[in-house]
Amino acid sequence: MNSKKIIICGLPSSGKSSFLAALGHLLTGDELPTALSLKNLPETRDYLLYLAQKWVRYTELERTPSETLKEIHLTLTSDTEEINLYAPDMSGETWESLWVDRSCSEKVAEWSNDACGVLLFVHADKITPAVPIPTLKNMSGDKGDATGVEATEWIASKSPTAVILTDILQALAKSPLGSKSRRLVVILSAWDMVRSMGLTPDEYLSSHLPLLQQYLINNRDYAGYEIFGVSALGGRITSDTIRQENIPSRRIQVVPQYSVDHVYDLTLPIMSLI
Amino acid sequence: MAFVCSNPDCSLSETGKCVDGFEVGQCPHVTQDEVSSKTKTDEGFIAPEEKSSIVTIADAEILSIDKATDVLRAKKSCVITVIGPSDAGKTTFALCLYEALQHGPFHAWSFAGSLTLHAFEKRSHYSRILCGKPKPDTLRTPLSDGLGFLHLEIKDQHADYLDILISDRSGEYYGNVANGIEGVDDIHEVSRADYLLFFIDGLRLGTDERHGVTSDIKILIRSLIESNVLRSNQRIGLVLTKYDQVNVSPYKERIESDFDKLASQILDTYGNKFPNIKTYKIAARPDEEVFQEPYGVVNLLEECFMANPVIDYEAGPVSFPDRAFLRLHLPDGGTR
Repeated sequence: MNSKKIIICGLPSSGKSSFLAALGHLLTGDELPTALSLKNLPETRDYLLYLAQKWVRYTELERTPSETLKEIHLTLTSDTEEINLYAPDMSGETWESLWVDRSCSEKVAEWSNDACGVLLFVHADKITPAVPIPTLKNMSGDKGDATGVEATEWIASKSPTAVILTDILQALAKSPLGSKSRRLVVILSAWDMVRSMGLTPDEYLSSHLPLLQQYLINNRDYAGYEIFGVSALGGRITSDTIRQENIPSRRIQVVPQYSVDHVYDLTLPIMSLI
Repeated sequence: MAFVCSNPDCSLSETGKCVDGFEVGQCPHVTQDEVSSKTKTDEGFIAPEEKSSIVTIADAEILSIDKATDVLRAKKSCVITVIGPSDAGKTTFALCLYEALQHGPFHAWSFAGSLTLHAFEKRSHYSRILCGKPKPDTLRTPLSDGLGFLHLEIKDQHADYLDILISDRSGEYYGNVANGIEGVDDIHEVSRADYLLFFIDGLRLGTDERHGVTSDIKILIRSLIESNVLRSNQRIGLVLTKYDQVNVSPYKERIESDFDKLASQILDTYGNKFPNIKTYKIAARPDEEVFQEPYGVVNLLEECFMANPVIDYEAGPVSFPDRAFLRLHLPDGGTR
């Protein structure tokens, strides 16, 4: 049987645990057919089921504590093969610290090195853009030069999202965190919040994270990439719409890279990686 | 076993680093916490927590000469060296392409990566809304920083990749070189430059400093030439910066005339030895009322990214010995 490890990364609150929670329910609930299905319940399943139970009860997940690395092991079957999939749930602070402090724990580095693919999460509605100060004279109200105004110091964690994520992806493609030629999947999470714009995930990335999109197209670090818009919760968990859904797995929305229509199969991004 | 710090400002438990710079275990505020080797959440889930040592990655700061050399050895690259006095717009020019790429492909170029994203972000900070200033500015490069290179990997319209290294050094240093305070031994960015740009501050050329500005740049160029730092095939650009402000200055004609005069003086004096001298006018971060986008930068970058011309090899004179025996090593056996 094939054993595959993947690495799940993203800044704090980018939807990593929500994704795993929805995936846990989709696979264990057996409500709808999926491209990859669970062969049997994993031996160590307390964390996966803990997430899935929260998800199905519309309960908000706590933030994954920093310094923790919770491992999920799934035996998945497709039409052609059987795969042992290992995926970690790491805190967003782990990845933010990689950008800010230029370091991570040895355990994270070890996992990253062994992974065959990278699953990168971006909260579609929490993107910090690079906004230049307009140079128009009238914008400053003719206050003269800017020397009298105290500027704030540069804080690394407040850098544009595209810059931080590009840096993380670059770091994951070289020693000591990994190597080139792995597969990459970008998940634009909380897709329900931006879906009304009528854009495909590819168009959304191009208009909201242009630097990252250029890197994805041009880089020579990864073997290929795919983008998905994903709403793991299906909307606000307090809304009646999702609570009235009779089949909970139908809450999940997965929008492929060049599409505006969604499916519910959350195993598609995993398929793309392995 | 976990370590806990009593200093509320210290995030040792999260980052593994002491805010006061002590080694873990040596800080007087740190105690060992035997209980917290496991973390209990509100729901009773026990999360295994393993302490492990820290792995560091490249700092993403400006590249030292050694690191820049590694890039030059590994890939097709282009070194742009920018020389000029303080506040002439050297760093603003270096940031110009990076800033443009933040919003999508710029002209024929798109972003493929960078080894110096921290360095770019620090320098760009004062041109972003987040800094709180009403007008954009650029972080000055202090003299103590020495020489560094900003790095960008770009892809052009022909799908060719190019690694760009743009020098970043304090203008004060170049002033010291011109004054003889600093020697030229450490000015590595000049000899390796694919394109050497001398920046002339257009704004200061419109003030009473105008003669001082032209005099300073002439002395600097002369210092470099007399020290044999420049190669004769080196491509050189004389760049009038802040052209947006020149364009609206009441002294616009005088400034342009001063610049043209300076350029022709340099061409007259050194044109024989350095045939590849060109002039440019740029506004890397223009006032939007004057120019909607960077002025003259595309043209200048295009020139910079062009491969250096291959110089025809000129063989030296071959002596033709009188004795036939001494002519045997010649390719044609010495037959006339």
